[in-house]
Amino acid sequence: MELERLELQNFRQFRDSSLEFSRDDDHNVTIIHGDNGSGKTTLLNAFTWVLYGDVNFETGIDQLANEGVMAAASVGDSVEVSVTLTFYHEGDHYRATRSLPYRKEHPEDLLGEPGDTTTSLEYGDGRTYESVNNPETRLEQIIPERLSSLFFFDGEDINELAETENEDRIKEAIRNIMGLTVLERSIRHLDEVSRRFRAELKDTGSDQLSDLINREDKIEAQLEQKREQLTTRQGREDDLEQRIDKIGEELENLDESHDIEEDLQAAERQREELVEKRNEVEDEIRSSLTKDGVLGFALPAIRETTADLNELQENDLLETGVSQEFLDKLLERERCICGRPLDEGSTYHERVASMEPAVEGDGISEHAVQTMSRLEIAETYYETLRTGLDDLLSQRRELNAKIDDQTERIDELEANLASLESPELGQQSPAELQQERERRREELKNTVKDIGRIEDKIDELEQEAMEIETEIGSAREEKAEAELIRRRWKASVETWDNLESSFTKLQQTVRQLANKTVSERFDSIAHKDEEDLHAVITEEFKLEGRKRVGDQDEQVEMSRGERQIASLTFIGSLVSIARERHQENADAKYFSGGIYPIVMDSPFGALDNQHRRQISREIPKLAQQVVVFATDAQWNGPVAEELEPRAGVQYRLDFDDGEQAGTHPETDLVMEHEQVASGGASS
Amino acid sequence: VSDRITYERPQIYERLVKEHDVFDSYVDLFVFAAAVGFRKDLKRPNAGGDKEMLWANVRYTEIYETIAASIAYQETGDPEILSDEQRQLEIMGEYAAGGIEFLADHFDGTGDPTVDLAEFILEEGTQVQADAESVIGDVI
Repeated sequence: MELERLELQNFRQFRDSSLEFSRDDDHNVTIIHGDNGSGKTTLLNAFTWVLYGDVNFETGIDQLANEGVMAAASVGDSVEVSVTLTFYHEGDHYRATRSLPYRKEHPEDLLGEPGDTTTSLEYGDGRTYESVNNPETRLEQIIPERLSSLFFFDGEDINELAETENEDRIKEAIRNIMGLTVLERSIRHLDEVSRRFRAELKDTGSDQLSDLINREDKIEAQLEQKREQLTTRQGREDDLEQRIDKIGEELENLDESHDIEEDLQAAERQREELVEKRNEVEDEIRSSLTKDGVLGFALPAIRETTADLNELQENDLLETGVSQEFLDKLLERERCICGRPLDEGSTYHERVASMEPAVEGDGISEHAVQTMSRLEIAETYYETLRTGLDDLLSQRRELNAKIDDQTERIDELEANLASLESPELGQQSPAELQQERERRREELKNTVKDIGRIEDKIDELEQEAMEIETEIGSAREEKAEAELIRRRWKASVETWDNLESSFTKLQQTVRQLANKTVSERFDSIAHKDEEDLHAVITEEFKLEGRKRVGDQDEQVEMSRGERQIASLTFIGSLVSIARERHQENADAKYFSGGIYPIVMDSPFGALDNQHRRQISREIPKLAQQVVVFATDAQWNGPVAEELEPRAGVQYRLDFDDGEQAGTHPETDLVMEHEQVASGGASS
Repeated sequence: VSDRITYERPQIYERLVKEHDVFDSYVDLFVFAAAVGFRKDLKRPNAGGDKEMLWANVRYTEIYETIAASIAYQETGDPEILSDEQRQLEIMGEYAAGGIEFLADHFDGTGDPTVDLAEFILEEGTQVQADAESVIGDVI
């Protein structure tokens, strides 16, 4: 990224200003100097606002609009605050603009009510531009916000980097420049993921599936057993039926029993027919009951409702609904239209009294007509039902009597058979046959009952087996899922280990690189004659001063100036690591580097002239492009002497504090000096 | 979503509908139970339950629709209820819950209850001629 131009519209004390940045390799510094309070910090904020929407003012964005413009505006008008940054990045020119309207609410309103921020980013060849759809995302890719504190910083507190207990900031800076924070987030996320996988495994890792399979096996075994029992019983049923038939035949064939057996069989057939008929009658009873039986209990309600509705209709009360007058009349005569007494204090009196008179019919009339029209049908149905039921029940009574008769006759004939002794030896007598038949019949009855029970049991077991089958299906799915989770968990743990170790390695590598640069540069500028002072970044990420004592390096307290120099060289080292990395075009997985400018506010702090000079010498080397804001007090003297020759462009902040009546704070950017033609060719 | 209520469906529903086929469907028994409950003044307000009864099923026959409207009108005396189907269904639900308790007490023995139910309707149900004539006489 190479800065080209910054334009400010109504941004704080800058009404309409622009700033060109030097892009010359030999004159890579852009200087802006002015009095305290003249707008240096505002300019630094203009960068962070246009790029990330962030400002570091105590009042936030509440006082962003230019006071003078706000004062001149009419109530209701909006003052547009905007900053545009033009820059060059990897072959394209970009123009980022952020703007925010402030609406003047009343005559004394100098702040205005902020509206909606709009951000745009265009890119092109410098003459024609195209819009980028997601400006915020693209800006974040070009110059990530996590790096903003490295490249846009307040020099007053930069020396803090080299203060004790600040290893976290150093570490963070190193991580940021490498993009390691992103990596770190991934690692943290992976850790969470693997923990989650492990918890899921616990849930699914039970012996549920084998339990289910055991249960299914047991049920299958039971089913097998029951089916065998069924087959046996059914065979027994066939045998018994055949034997009973055979007994009948034998009894028919015996002279003594022939007639009685014929009569008996006829009687049994008749009884069967009668039972069949009785079943049919009961079916008819059922089908007449099922829909119309309800009328036996509902008809009175339908009749009374129809009567009430008829009266309402006759009184023309259905179309318009019940009026208050009508209700009052009912209460007065103490009788409802349905005939119920409406005595004061009774439930019905209360009901009528609390009824809301209807404003409109609400289609009630249609419903009422429908209800009334169906009374007749209901009466017909019910009458048919009653007549039908009377008839069916008496039919059933008759059939029952006949069945009883047949049963009596059968009993008689069977008794007769049972009394016939055998005429010949070695042959079963009719009595014995009849006794056996009775036994067999009893047995058959029990067998049929058994069959029914076994069939019920089989149904039940099959149902159970089906349910378990379903459970097994889902348990199998869960098991497969558990396997998958197990594999994922393993993979996540491995990845986590790998990342963690490469992360640590990479961090140390960058530390070593930074350490090397810091040591070299620090030595070259801060070296005091008698003392052998070095700056190092320790393995614990502390930026420290060291002194050679005998064979050993000892930690020494650095002065503020030394800390300032150490800190600046540290940032410079990060910028050059990022640049080298970028230029090597290394096949970097996590850290591809980049070219970044440094914009710093007042890096000369409360330093003595010697340190100011040393720092001024160092500044051009910090980055490919450096923008420096300085107070006039800092600027005059060694800083100007050192930096002026390296400055491509130099501005003075011309500030009017707006103390006089009718004036407002206002700063103009006055170009003092330009070594190279602005807008020159980009590298 | 069409009008609906929730209701309890005790064992007697299974017995009369599934086992003995006395009623073709749960809806038939529900309406029957509601009519019995209304006639015998057995009401269970806010009965609720885990089964749903849909108005769409009740209005499946014109007679059921008329029964629901009539019972609801008799309950409230308000003609506007004729167009408020949800409310009608709610009232039916309250009486059905009371009615089914009665039926469970009287028809939950073993054996086929068909004939007993038929006799119950003939004995305890409305007399056709007497009531009908007096009411129709009133109307005319």
